[in-house]
Amino acid sequence: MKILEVSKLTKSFGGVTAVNDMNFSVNSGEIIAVIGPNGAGKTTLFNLITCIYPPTSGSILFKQKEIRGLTADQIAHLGISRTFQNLQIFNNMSVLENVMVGRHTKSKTGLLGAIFPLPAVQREEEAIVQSSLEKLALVGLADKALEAASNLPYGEQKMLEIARAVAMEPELLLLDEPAAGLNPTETRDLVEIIYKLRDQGITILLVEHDMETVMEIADRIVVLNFGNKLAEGTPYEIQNNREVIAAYLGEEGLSC
Amino acid sequence: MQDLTRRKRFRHLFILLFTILIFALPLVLNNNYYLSVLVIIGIHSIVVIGLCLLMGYAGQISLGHAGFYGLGAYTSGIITSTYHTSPWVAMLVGAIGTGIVAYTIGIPIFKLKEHYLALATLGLGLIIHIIFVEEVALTGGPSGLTRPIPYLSIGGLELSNDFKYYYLVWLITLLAVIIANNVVHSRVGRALRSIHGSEFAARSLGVDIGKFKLRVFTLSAIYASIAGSLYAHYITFISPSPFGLMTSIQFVVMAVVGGLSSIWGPVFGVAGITVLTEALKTVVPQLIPEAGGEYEIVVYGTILVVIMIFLPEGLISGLANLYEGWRHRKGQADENS
Amino acid sequence: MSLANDILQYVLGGLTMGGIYALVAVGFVIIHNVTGIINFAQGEFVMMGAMFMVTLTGIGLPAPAAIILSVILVMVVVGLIEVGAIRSAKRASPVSLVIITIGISTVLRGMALLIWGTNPYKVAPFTEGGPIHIGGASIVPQVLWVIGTTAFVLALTFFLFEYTYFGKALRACVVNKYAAQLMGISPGKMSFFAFIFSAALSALAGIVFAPITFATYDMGLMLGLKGFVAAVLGGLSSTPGAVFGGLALGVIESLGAGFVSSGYKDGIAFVILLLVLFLKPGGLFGTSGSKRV
Repeated sequence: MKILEVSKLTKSFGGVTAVNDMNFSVNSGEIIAVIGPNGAGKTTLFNLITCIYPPTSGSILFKQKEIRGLTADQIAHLGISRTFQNLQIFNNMSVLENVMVGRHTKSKTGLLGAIFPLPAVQREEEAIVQSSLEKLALVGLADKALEAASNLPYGEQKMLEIARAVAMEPELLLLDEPAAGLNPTETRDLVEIIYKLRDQGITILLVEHDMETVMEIADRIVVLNFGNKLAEGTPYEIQNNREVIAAYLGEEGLSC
Repeated sequence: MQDLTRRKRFRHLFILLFTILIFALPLVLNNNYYLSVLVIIGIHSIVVIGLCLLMGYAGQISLGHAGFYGLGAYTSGIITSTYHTSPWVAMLVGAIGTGIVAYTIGIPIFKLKEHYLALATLGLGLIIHIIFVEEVALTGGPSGLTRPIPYLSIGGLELSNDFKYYYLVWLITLLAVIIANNVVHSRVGRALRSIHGSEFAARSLGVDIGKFKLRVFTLSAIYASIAGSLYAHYITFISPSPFGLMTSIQFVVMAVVGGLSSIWGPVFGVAGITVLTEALKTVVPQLIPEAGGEYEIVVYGTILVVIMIFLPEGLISGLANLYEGWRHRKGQADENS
Repeated sequence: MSLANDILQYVLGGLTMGGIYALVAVGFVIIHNVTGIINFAQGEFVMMGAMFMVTLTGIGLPAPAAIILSVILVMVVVGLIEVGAIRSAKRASPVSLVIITIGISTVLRGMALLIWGTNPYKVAPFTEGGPIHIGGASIVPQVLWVIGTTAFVLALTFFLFEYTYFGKALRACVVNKYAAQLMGISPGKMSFFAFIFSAALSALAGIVFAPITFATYDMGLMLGLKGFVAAVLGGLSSTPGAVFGGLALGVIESLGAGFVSSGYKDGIAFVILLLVLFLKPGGLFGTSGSKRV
């Protein structure tokens, strides 16, 4: 089943076309990687899917439903979650609280409930803590739950963002360069986590520069260049695609 | 999670200690001047706690809270002096009315950001103040409400002296602290703080930013309104001057000086600034015999600047950091010995 | 004819006040652009300009010398403040910096009270002569000084920012502090220059304004506020926007006072401000930049 369908998607900023006439789809349960050189439009694509800004034209269907024109928070309620390329950790909170915000869509205490915490509210709060701790355990941060999020090293902050994004139990998870800045051990852990998430039934769309990781985990790869889709296929197909090698791997070498 | 429960207990312990302090203080400081200062500290604390929820937790500044404070005071004053209704009813009417005003005007205002938002709230406060001055038929204009405002009473007990009023005001302040504490440590509070931490991330997790900002703005306006009503029934006379721009700025100053990252910050900030102003009134003339009020202003401003330079996160965090530093040094000294 | 005359009279009066607001607003914009600070002490800079002018003309200095000296004195005071208070507050958050400027304004106002007391002072107009008639309206000659100074100073500012190395360095700081630093421009130094330049503009506003009004120790409060409003109306980062905002605010206020009610003069200005903000949340000349994630 197609969980996400992007068709004829275009986004221009002033005169610059960041994403041009893009078509691709994601099947339920897949891990899809979007790759391409810097400025290829990968993050813009993510921001369009999560409705940070509206597309210039084209459509995005999530579970056969048009999501153009929705706001970023409505997207979350539908079941799309994401992490960010530049970390967006809540530095003013503890590690646990960061993940607890991730339970926002799965809980419903309002201002009145917050003012008068009746037993039902307290039960909900306990449930939030419980499931948040589970997510922290998943990424290996359970023992740091009460530390200030800002005190975590970079790699752990990235894991925290994943735990937070997963806390809402999304159907589609967008990871924006999850391996960037991680050391080899951390990258291994990340791969394991991504597999676990897939096994839990979460569809994963990720942007990544680390080719080794991408080739290993992706079921399919979408290659972007200057806002256009250059190629799409299995890792094997992409590795042997002449256009891709010429425009991307050939130019920048294998260093990336 | 044992640690989590311990933290919660710790917070409750603070509230308990605070309650004991409140009840004990008048027995020690049984002097009308001190009591009246404490009453005003309590009333202002209520406003600033609300403001702190807005500024510290939602990260939104308001330079118009004296307007809401005034709306509460004037609603109470006008209704009780003209229609002789119960002051409690008037207080409720004021709170609901102010809440509606804040909510309605908040819808367009919270589309704005940062400095624009600050300016819009400032404009709102000024407009409300101008209405107090100009609508002479209703408000008595610049010279204030001439009809007497009654004291508050509970059952048959009229709260007509500082001692009795002190307990009422601080009971409500305590309630304001507890409610703020509940809000901060709830789903709503986390949503608010997440907005402050990163709007992008908050939205990506499903937090409807506008909705939460607006609700907290409304809640803080209601806080201010209730404080205004308490003020009106304490002083029993109101004029526009305590509800102007300077008061709004003063509230923000108190919030920031106390520290925005804790619900105890406001109480500290209000107490600190009020005690400072009062102390300067006594101390400065002793140091410089011929000095007038202008020295107090200069010293007050200087202290404000110095606090912000050396403790930019406010008194609470500042003191906490100093304590941490001291413990750290002590720990090192112990290791060395 | 009488209505047209009234309108003309109000517009001229409004443009005069608007010129003052514009000068203050440009001062706001310069400091905000370079340092990101909303300077609540801006109005006090205006007050100091007017008050130094009062004292210096009072001891018998001729007007041109008094003007220059007053401006320099204000620049010195503000320079000291920048070094002493603003620069030492490196760790402060934006809201703490706002409180610092509130503290500074309190100190300056207190000092002024100490030196000059609560008396209102009158400064002699720069040129003698009776009212000048334009159409059906009449104005005092000092108004021409206000408008002339505003125009001259703004032209000078424009020239400075567009064509000098100093101006380009300032603008570079605005666009990207780090890049500017790499190019050898010190943001600290630029902050200093922004403050004293802005102080000079505000001082001039106070000096030319003093003869049409009474100078008092607390005159800065309302002027600073109106300057802030004008700056925000213009988008907070645009100098021409600030000028337009200032003039528009002056005229609206004056028409409002004339035709509706003088008590609601400020109210009208702020209602219009709110409406503008609701319709154009980034101010009239503002660009709503989106942050990168």
